[in-house]
Amino acid sequence: MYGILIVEDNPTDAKLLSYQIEKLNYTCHIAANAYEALDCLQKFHIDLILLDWMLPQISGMDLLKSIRSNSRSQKTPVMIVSGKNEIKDVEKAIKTGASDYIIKPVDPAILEAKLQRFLNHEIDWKPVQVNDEAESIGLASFAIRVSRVSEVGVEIETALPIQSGALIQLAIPLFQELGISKVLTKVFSSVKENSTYKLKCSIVGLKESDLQKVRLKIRTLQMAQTKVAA
Amino acid sequence: MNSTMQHLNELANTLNLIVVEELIVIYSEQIEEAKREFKKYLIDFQADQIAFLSHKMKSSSRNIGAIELAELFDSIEKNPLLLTEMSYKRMLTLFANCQTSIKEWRLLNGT
Repeated sequence: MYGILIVEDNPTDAKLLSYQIEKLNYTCHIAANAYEALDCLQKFHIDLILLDWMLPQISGMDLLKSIRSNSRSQKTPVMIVSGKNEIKDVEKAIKTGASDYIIKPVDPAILEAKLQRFLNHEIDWKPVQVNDEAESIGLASFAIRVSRVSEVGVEIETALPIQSGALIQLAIPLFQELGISKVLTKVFSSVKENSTYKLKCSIVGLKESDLQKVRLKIRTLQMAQTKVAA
Repeated sequence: MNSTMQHLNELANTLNLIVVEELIVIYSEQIEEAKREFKKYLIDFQADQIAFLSHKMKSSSRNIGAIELAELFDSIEKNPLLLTEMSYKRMLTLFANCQTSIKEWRLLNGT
């Protein structure tokens, strides 16, 4: 049974979330602040964390940084659950290391779908280090997850509304392994599905020699992902 | 039937009566605490604390279906200077209305 940690100081929010999670037959642990959360992470097996942004003393974002710097919880998916509903808030959370974002009041159907996607490993999610340099040159810099890779480019998913034609910068493990620090891509289609945007991107700004390596790497990744899906 | 009673009915249908009753008990305790805290902040103004408490009460008020209260807390969260004697009095009135709705809902549902 999967273990879910709810980090929420507001007792009515915690009550509603824990009820919904227990209804899905997951084990639920509740922490009312950052200290209790870190304690739970030491004591219990936690598969996913639902983290409120507005916590007393230590904020959700500071706790998220701490979670990401700890080898035990570094790769644990963290969903921010917050009433903050502006794009800049979502962007900040994802840049800090959040895996996903849910806006309060929480829709039980959306929560269930998102939990299942992470817990059933339908998403090949890894924490991403985003290059801060992107901000200084006026580009949006988002953490994203690769859902599919093909010869023409990559298909990615993000919680942020990104329109077709937008230029975005990718900083994903695939490219980091190749020693490429930043990759510019252009979004050639953007489709909204529930709260997720599925984008198809071309890869631009790479040297011909790098493209060869990317294609080689893409094929390997595609095979690996097919295996996971099967 | 007002928004609070309607929302509590919807919650009872999707969750169950026991969970709704637990939510009501928690929220009633939060109301009493919020009354004391906001009164304190009227004298000793602390913008960050007012915004933080308003944020928390906004979320709980939404959970219980107290929409007018949630809107009031939302405005105070965005601008803590809106916490005045007048807005505090309005808050107390809305709290009282909400508690009346909860009482009526409890009577109707025998909780």
